[in-house]
Formats: sequence, structure tokens, C-alpha cells
Amino acid sequence: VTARWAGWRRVAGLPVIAAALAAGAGAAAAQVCEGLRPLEWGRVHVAAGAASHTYASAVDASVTAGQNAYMTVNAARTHDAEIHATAWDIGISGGYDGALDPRRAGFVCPRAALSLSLGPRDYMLSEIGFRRAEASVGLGLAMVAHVGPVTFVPVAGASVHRLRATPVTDADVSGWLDPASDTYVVVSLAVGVRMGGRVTLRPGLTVPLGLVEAGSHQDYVAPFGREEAELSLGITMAILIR
Amino acid sequence: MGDHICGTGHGRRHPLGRLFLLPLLALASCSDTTGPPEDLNPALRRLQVDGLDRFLYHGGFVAFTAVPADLSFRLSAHQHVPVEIAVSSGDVETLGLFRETCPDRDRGWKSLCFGYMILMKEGHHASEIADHVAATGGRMYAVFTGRFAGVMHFRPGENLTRARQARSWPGVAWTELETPGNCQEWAPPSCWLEHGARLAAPIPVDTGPAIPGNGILEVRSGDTVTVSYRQPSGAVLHDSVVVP
Repeated sequence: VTARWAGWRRVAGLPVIAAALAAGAGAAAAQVCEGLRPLEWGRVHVAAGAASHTYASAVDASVTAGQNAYMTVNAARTHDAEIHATAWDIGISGGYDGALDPRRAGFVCPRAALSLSLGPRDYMLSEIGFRRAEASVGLGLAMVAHVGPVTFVPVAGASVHRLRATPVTDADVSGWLDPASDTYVVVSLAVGVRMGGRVTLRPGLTVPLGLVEAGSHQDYVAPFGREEAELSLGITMAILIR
Repeated sequence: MGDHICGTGHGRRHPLGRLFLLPLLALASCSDTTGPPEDLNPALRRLQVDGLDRFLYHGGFVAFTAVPADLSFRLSAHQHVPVEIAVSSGDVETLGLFRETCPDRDRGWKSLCFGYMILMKEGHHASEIADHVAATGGRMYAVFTGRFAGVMHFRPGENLTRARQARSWPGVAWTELETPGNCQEWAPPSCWLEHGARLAAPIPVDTGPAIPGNGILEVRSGDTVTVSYRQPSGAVLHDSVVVP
């Protein structure tokens, strides 16, 4: 119980700091901290992306709506071809972008997300699968730079994730394969690039830190397809729909 | 039942290399192994004819295992350690020893890289799938009670694919990957220390006149099969077995 609450305290601390920073910030412009064009210029963002991890690859799609605050619904597929394993994720997330200065050149953004990951099923032909539920809170920072007709939005973020992994099987696996939780951190860097239009391209990278040690008895208590401290490169294309 | 194998092991990829693959990742999530395996010549502490996987008859196979001197040694999926196998009646083959356990990563469960077990449904016999096994380049062995059998494959990196594919064959109840005798999938890391370093490979066995270099060990009753390996120091490690 103590470890569980310690984990949640780590999760809860970041949004409190972020909310305080955002509350002191000026005009909002949602999704700038995602590297995208502010949502005030349209109604929704539709985005699709791909990422390459050490052993797996992922694709995802999302729809975002909002103004100052925004809400995103996303679906993702993570596939590890070598072991024929796939996990499907659905998630909902939200955030608020607060401008740090009147010229709106810098932003600070608290954000939070919930997700459910189903799979892989029949992992390594064991007839055992996994379900993972996750909550995260984080803080993003963004700068907006105009260089001729091109706008660059470099963004950085960190989020604390609390993950609970549950084995899914008809067999009695209690005692050696129990539901378990862990807390880890994801650091992200990206650059949104747009040339005046509604389309933004955003290459970026994410690095998970603090995952359960690989090779340990409960190393399944980690996001599927991710490895400790790996540099995962990805690219997202987002279209702003007016 | 094509021969395309999706998802053979590639080991770790460089992040910059992955960046260029990103556009393709959205379209395809697997790729083919390219090029021959890389030859390595590590010091070994042990080389032997496997005590269990030893089916020296026509249509059988024999496996060889080795333990590196350094137990922290790890082969990637695209590396092997060549050994020479000589049969006293004349056959000589070169066999690449690969990792014994797959996949080549620390996280997640492991299994033996070659071979899987198969259970037939009630009323079916393992002999019913003999043609399927042969068509995929495998060999069936150790049939128990008619319903339970082992299937050995000889190409690295395709074991999981083949075992999954076999589940679609008529009469098959399930297939299961094999783990080293004293390690279950969920065993603690200490159990996997030596197994992570160990090397292994099987080679098909037939009876008949020797055809050196064809990838099949041709033997006759009374032959001696010898596996040998030249250490980096120049010393030669070997082990032998007599064909019954």
C-alpha cells in the first residue's frame, strides 16, 4: 500500500506544479506544446503518426478538439514483428496551453492522459496475454519561431506514468504472474514544422526512464514494445480542420 | 503456406537507421533478414552433441550445443559460430551455431530458437501432419501417444512463425515453444544467465552415401559423428557420438 501511494504521489506532483505555472500564464493556444498550430485557428486536429522503437514499431491516429483547453482521443497499434505480438491502445488525454509572454512565443502546458492497452494476446504462444491500464500527467514547454514562411515549434515534455499490467489467461497463474503496477517517466522532444498551411509535420523522439528491469520476474509491467532509456524516433502529421 | 517469414530477428537497430524506415513503418511492420549471418569465433568452454536432441536415423536430426567461456557473451540474431561436423563414412558439413534462446533481448519471455511441440486433437494422429512438417522444412520426432510430437526446424529466426503456422493445420490442438529444461518462461534471470550465452543448432540426418556440404548429415550405422571447433587460441574442441 505504501509503495502504491508513493507511486501516485509522484504522478500527482507534476500536474500541481504545471497547473500553477499555467495559471500564471497569459493567453492560451491549445496544442502548441504538441508542436501543432493553435486550435484557435480551426475546430479539430486530425493526426497520424508512426514511431520506431528498438524492437517494435507503432502507428497511431488521433482527433483533438478544444480551444484553450483541449481533449484528444487516440488509438494506436504497437507491433513487435520478431515475436509476432501486437498491442492495441485506446486513450483519452487533455491539456491546457498557457502563453508565457504577451507575444505568445513561449508556452507551458500541463496535460494528463488515460489509456488502455490490450495485448499482446497469446504471448510467445503461451496462451497468456496482457492488459495494461495507464494514467499519466505531465508538463510541456514550447517555443514558437517564425523563419520566413516556415514556423518552427520546438517542444519538450516530461510525463510521469502509472501503469498497471494484468495477465489475461484462463489458466491459474496466481503466485507467479500477478497483476502489478509501476511508475515510470517519459521524456519527449519534438519540432513542429509548418509552412503557413494547415498541415504540420512533427518529427520527435521519446525516451522512457525507470521501467521495471528487463529480465526481472515482472518485466511485463512496462509499456509493451518499450525498453529502458531507448531513443524512439517518430513522426506525426497533423491537419487542422476548420 | 508460403515461405515468406515475417519478423525474423534483427537485433538492435540504430536509431538513425530507424529514422529512414519510418515512412515504411506505417505501411509494413516487418521486413526480411538481409545477407548471410556474421561469423564469430569466441572462446568456448564446452562443445557437445546434445544429449536429448539426438535422432540419428533417416529423417531425423542431431543438435549441437556450446557454452562460451564468457557467460556474458551474447550472440545477436544475425550472428553465428561455425563448427565443423565430420562423419566417419565421409560426410563433412559446416554448421552455424546460433543463440539457444530467442528472442535476443533481455525483456520478456524466452524459448529455444529451434523446435516446438505439437498436440493433436482427440482422434487425430501426429502422422497426419507429416506432409505439412516436411513442406515447411521441418522434421517430426518423439511422437508420444500418437498425439504429442516434437517438430524441429533448421533455419534460425523462423521458429515462432512456424509454430504459429502449425496451429492452422488440420487436427492440431495447439503448439507450444520449448524452453530449456530447467527454465520456464517466467524463471528468474539467474536461470537464464547461461542459457542466454549458450549456442545451439540442429542439422537434419539421413542415411545414405555422403554428400558433403549439402546441409544434411548422411550417416550409416556404426559411424562416428564428430563436431569440432577451433578456438581463438588455436586449440581444437570436439565431441563425438556413435550412430546406433
